[in-house]
Amino acid sequence: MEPLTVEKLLELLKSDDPFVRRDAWLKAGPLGADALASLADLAANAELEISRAANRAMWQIVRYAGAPGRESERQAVVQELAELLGNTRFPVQLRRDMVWMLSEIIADEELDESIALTYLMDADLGEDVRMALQRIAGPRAVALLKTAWEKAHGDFKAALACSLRKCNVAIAEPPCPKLVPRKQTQVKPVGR
Amino acid sequence: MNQSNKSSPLHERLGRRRFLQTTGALAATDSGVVVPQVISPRALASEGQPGANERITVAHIGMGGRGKGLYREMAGLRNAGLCEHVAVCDIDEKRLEEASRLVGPQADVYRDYRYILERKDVDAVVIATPDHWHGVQFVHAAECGKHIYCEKPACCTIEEGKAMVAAANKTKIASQIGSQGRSQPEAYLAHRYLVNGNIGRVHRIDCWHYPSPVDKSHTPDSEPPPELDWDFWLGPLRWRPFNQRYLHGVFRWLLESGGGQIRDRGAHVMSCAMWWMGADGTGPVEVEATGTPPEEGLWDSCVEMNVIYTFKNPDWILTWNQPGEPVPPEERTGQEPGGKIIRPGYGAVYRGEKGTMVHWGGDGGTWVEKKVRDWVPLPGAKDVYKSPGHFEDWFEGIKTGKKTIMNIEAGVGVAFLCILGNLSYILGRKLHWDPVKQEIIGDEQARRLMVRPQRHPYHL
Repeated sequence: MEPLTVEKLLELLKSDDPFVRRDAWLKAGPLGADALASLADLAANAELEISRAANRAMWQIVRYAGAPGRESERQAVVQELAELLGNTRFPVQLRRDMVWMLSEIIADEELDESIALTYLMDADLGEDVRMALQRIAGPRAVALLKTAWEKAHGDFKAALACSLRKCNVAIAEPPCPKLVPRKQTQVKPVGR
Repeated sequence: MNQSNKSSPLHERLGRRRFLQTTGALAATDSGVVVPQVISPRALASEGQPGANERITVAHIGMGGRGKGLYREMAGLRNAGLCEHVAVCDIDEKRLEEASRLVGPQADVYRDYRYILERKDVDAVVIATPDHWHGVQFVHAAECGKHIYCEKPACCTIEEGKAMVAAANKTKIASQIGSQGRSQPEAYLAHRYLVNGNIGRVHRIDCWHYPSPVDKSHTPDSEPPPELDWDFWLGPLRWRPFNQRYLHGVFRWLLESGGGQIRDRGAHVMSCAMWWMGADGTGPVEVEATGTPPEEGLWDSCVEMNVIYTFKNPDWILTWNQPGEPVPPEERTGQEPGGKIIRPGYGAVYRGEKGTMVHWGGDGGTWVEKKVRDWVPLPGAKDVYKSPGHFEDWFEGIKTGKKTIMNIEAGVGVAFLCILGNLSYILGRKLHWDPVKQEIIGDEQARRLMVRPQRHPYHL
C-alpha cells in the first residue's frame, strides 16, 4: 500500500466522497507536526465538510502524539501548534481548538510565560486559555493564572479566582458567583 | 443490600408521626429484606391526607422531551398527594411555556435554575437537561441541600463524577440517577436468578446496541433562534457558534455533550450489569475501545463501537458492542411482568460457567428470557432488593435516608465505564484504570482528559 504523505492526506481530505475523507483523517496521526500547518489552512479555508475533516485530522495527530512513549512526536506537535496559534489570520474558533489541543499535551515547563499571559489576557482566547491552564495545573500554569488574576477585572477576575481555587490556591476575592442567578425569562405561568 | 440509614433534611422536616407511619409500612411489607413501599392512596385516605408541608416539593430543571416524560412518570406520586410540582425551568422559552401549560399555574417558571436552588421551599429537583449540564447542576443543587433525581448518564467527566459524589455525601441528600432499568420488575427476576447461581459464576457479559446515526445535513453554523438562550444551553462547554444540529435531543450524538449510544443506553444496559454482578463501587482495570466515526457531519460519536472492560478480583469481562450480536426478541403474550418487548435493539448476554442469560432493553423497559421468569426459588434461596419503582425508591431515600437503588456512587460508577470507553476510542489506545483511586494511570494525556474545565460561571 502507498504510504500516506501530507500531500496525499490533503488530496484525500478534499475528496467529494465522505468515506474517503473519513478514512484519510483517521490515518493522519503518524504524520505528526509536519501536517499541521497545511491542515490548519484547510480547516480555515475549505468548505464545511472538508474543513471538518481537516480539523479532525489535526485532533488525530494530537491524540497520536500524546501517547506514552512518543515524546519527540509530542514535542514537535506542541511546538508547531504553539506557532500556529500565534497566527491571527486563522479564525478565532480554530485558534481556540488549538488551545484545547495544547491543553492535552503541552508540558507545564513548555509554557512560554510571556506568550501564554498575552493569550490569557486576550479577549478572544482568554477564557479558553484559562480553562487550558486549569487542566495543565502545573506550577507555571498556576503562576500564570495568578499573574492574570492580579491584572484582571470583573467577571474574568472571578473566573481566574475559581480556576486558582480548583488548583488548590487560596483566593478569597472575588467570591465565586456560580450560584447567583442572572437570567430572567419572559414567560409567565400559563393560566395564572 | 446496603440500605443504610442517615438523616436527611426532608426527613427532619417531615413530622415524626408521618415518619413512623412510613417506616411502619416498610416493616409490614417484608420480612427480612427491607423493601421500601410508598403508601398507597388508599392507605393515605384511611389515615388522613398529609398536610401540604409533608409533601415533597419538586422543581423540574430541563423540560424537553425527557423532562416532560419524567413529570408524567410522577403522576402516581402526585395523585397520591406525596409531592407537588412548584417550579419548572428551561432555557428554551417555547419549551418553558409548554411546560407551564403541562404542569399548571401553581408552578413558577424560570430560565435560570439557580432561582430554584435559592428557594427554601423546594425540597427536591428533577434534572433532565443535556448531559453536559448534569455534573454542574447536580453539584449546585446538592450544595443547596436539594434532593436530586438526575437523568443518566450521571456525568461527562471523571472530575464531575467525583465532585457529584463528594457533594452528595457532604450534604446527605438523597439522589437517584435515571437508569431506571434497575427498578423494573423483570430486572428483579434477572438479578435473583443470577445470584442464585442458575448459570454459575458469570465470567463475561456482552452488550449489544444498534449503531449511532450520522448527520448528513451539512448544516452550517447560524444565529440561534430567539426563544433559545444559546449561552445557557452551552453552559459548562467551551463557547462555539450555534448550530441547529447540536439540539434538541441530538446533543446525544456529540462526544462532548451526549457521548453517543454508549453513554446513553450504555448507562442503562451496563447499569444492570453492575447491579446484578454486585459490582457497584468497583471498576475495570483495563478499558480498550475501537470504533468507526461518522463519515461526515457535526456529530462525532461512534457509529459502530466495541469496548472491552476487564475486571479483576473477581475476574470478569464486560463488552459494549455496536451493533454486536443482537439476540432476536422472544415471543410474548404481553401478560408477562414487563409486558411485550418493544425495544429489542439493545440488551446483553450473560455468560456463566453453567449457561447463559439474555435480557433485552435495560431502561424503562427491561425484559428477560422465559426460563428466568419461570424460575421458582427453592426454600433458602437468596432474595435481592426489589425496587418499588424508580421514583418511589428515591422518595423513600428522601424520607428515610436509605440508600437509593441508583444512588450517585452507583450512577457515577456506570458513567465512568461510558466515559472511559469513549476516551479509549478517541485516544486510540488501551487505558489502565485504578478503580480504587478512580484514576487513569500511565498516560498523561488520558489523565488530563479526566478533567474538562468548564466555562465561567457554569462550573462545579
